[in-house]
This record gives sequence, structure tokens and C-alpha cells, in this order.
Amino acid sequence: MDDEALLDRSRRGDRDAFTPLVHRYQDELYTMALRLTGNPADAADVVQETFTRAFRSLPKLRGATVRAWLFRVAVNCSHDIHRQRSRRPADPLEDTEGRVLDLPDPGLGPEATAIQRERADAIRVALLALPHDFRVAVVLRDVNQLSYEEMAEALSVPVGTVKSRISRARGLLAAALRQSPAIFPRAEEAW
Amino acid sequence: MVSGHVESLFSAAYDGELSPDARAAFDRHLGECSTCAAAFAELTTAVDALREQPTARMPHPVRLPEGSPGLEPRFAHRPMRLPRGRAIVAGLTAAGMVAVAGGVTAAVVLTRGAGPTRTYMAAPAVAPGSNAGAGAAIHAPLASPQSASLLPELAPLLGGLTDCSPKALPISKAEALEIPVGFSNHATEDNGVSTGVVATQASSFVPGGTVDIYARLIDDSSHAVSLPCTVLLGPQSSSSSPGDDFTMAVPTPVAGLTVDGQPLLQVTVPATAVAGQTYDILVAPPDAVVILTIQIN
Ligand SMILES: [Zn+2]
Repeated sequence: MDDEALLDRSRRGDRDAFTPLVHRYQDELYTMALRLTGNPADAADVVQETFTRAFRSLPKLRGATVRAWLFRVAVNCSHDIHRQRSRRPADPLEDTEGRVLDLPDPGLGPEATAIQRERADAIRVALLALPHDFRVAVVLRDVNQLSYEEMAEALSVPVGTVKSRISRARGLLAAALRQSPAIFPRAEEAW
Repeated sequence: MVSGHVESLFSAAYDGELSPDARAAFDRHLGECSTCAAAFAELTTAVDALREQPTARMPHPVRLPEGSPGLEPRFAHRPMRLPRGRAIVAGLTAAGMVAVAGGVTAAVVLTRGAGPTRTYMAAPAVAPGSNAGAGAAIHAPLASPQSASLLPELAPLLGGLTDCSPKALPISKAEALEIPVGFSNHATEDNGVSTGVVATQASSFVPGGTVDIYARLIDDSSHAVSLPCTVLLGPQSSSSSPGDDFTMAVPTPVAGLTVDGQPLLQVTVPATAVAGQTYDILVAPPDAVVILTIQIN
């Protein structure tokens, strides 16, 4: 059943119509929130809060797709939770809770796993260094692969603004990763 | 030749958004310009690295609120449909404006941190039970049921009784979110479409008492601020079957009752309210954005 049909049933008060939406989007939203906040506990809170708000508000959604709307709420929640917890350690690498960014592929050997971990850490640090709006832009585009139109809907900005934010954000991301040997192995040799 | 560099096209090129002609010119430039070629390779490597990160899994199950989607939990136990033809007690929208023509009795200056001083003009109290008072009780028939909304069982009531359109206010989102000093009972909620703010000076009121309400609605897209429609909703104490009926009063702007020159709302708690009951102030009904509870004592 597609999103709109589930939304329609939710509007009529059908609780069972809501659960498939949770299962469909929870990992995508969690991944987005993890990239935005850099912290698994915060990301899980974002997803929980997003669906709590969605449960109350989604039935009255008009004129937007469910997916774009969920991302919009999750971006807002990420921002709120990030603000609420601004006293956390400034260096995310010292936050032991946040270190386990993703479970590495269990099929990889220890060396490959270590490389994956280094890459994940480098990307996390680079993303957290981006200004908020640019971090959101590059995450929605390159982590969640939203279309420009979905992003415009989710962020309430024109498509032209979406494109320029993505462009700026990718440039900043590349600059932030430039010195990272995990992403650019030749940078290490050049030293 | 700096003017010929193609950095501004990197992102569109990465996404495959360039027209065939533009792409050909882009590739031609990269073939001739090692600076751009290296920079585009760097951007591609960085973005690919981000894209290759695996999808993470939500570590624990999402817990959904009780009840049905769209229903505030506190309303979930109430019947989905109201008995037809039952009368309800409701506020009279226009009465409040008339009642205060007699003038303002008190002015209190409120300050907020280092910010500008706000003048909060309190309107004269209206005698409980007066027909002219804001929120004076009238009996209104139920309107016909309307389409589902956040509070499906309330929509017929609200749709039939609140002839209200939000009033645009010339203030910023930040100003709207700043709750006036003294309005200690407050709630703010962003539902992804709008952000609602509602506040009262106390959390408990007596039957027939006057409630001054700070209410602001902010459109999440445009950040436009409005004075929203609101409703005061409580149980119908005289009903033979509790929970079947609602007591409703409609807060209205009142002359002289302002913060920073912008209107507040005022409502009278129905005289039929009973100590121990709770009433809810719904902002922007029937699709309530935020709900603030007050206690009757
Ligand atoms: Zn060039």
C-alpha cells in the first residue's frame, strides 16, 4: 500500500495504517539524524520524536508528500535536540557514546573494518563542521538521496536555493575531507 | 584563465544535471585544466565516500502514542461522534468586544530581560454570568459533521461555532515565541506545518473567572505570525452521561488588552465549571496545533 493510501486510512483514525509508515521510514530517518547530530542516542530520540509528532499531525497533512514531510519534521527535531544538548563535548571524537557510528559490515576482516571505521569517523567530523543549513542539504541529498523537489518541499525553500546549498555544501565537505587519509589515501603519501 | 573555470558546475555535473552541450563543454574544460580536473575529482571522491556510508538501523522500536492517529491522547477516550441535536454551552464571539467599551482599569508594565519594555493592559473584569461578557454562555445547536481532522469528534462543534479567521500580526517569529513575563503556564509546539504558542498567567482558575491568553501561530514556511483562532474546551458538568458533551467558550480579542501593541485574547471560564475539572485551550482548532491545560479550582 502506498504512502497516500496509508495516510488516507490514518486520517480516518486507523492506527494500523500508521505502523507501516514507521517501518518504511525509521531507518532512513535514523540515518539522516545520525549524520546531522553525530550521536546515536540523539538520532534515536529524533526518530522517536518525529513519529510522535507525525502520529498527531500527519492526518491533517495537506499538499505535501509523506516522505518530504517526515524529513521536514525530522530536520526540525534534529535542530531542536541539537540545541537542547549544546553542552555536550565539543569534540565528537571524545564522546564515547557517539563513536560507534555504524556497525561495520560483519563480512569484512579486521583491517577492512578499521578502515571503514576511520572513513566513518572522518565523514562524521567533516559533516559536523559544516554550518547547519549546508549539513542538512548535503545529508538530504547524498545520504537520503532526496530529489531537489523533495528537498524544496522538506526545507520550504525554492529549488534554486536547494541546488546552491548542495553545491556549497559539497564544496565544503570536500575541503573538510581533503586532509583525511582515510578518504584520500594519497594525501598521506604526499606528507 | 580564472573566468573559464567550471567549479560552479561541479555539483550539477556530479548529479548529471548538465545538458549534453554543457556537459561536453565541461568535460572539454576538465581535459585542458588540471586545476578543475583535480578539484572535481576531489569533490567526486568526497561525495562518493558520503554516499557509500551504509544505512544505519534504528536501534530500538518506535513507540507510538496511545489512541488513533491525529488524536490527542487526552481526547482519545472520548466518543468519536457526538449525539445529534444535543445543545452545548458555547462562548459568544462578538460579545467580548462590546463588554470592554467602558474602558481600561489597569495597566501593568512588564519587562523582559534586556529587551524592550512591553506594556500589558489589563481589561476590566466582567461579572460572571453577564450576557455581555466574553465567553458568556449561549446554547447553540450542533452543526452537521464535517470531514475528519485532528479532533474528529470536535470538528462539527468548532466548525459550526467559530466564525474565526486568524489575524495577521506585524511581528517576527522570534517576538511571537517570546512569552510575556508573568504568563508562566505555557506550551509551544511545532507540528511540522505550524508552530503554536499559548500561555496564561496561571494554571488554575475559578468558575466564572477571566483568563487572559497569549496565543500566537507561526507558519513554518513563511514565518508569518498570526493571532490564531482558539477555543476553551471542557467537560459538560451538567451532562447526565459524562464525556458525551463538551463545554466550549471562544476566547476573543478585547480592547486594551495587548502586549507590545498586539492583541491578547480573553475568555471567561463557564460558571458551570466545577472544581477539579480540567479545561483545554486549543490553538487553531479544529486542527489544534497546541493545547494548554488549565485546572478549575
Ligand atoms: Zn579550470
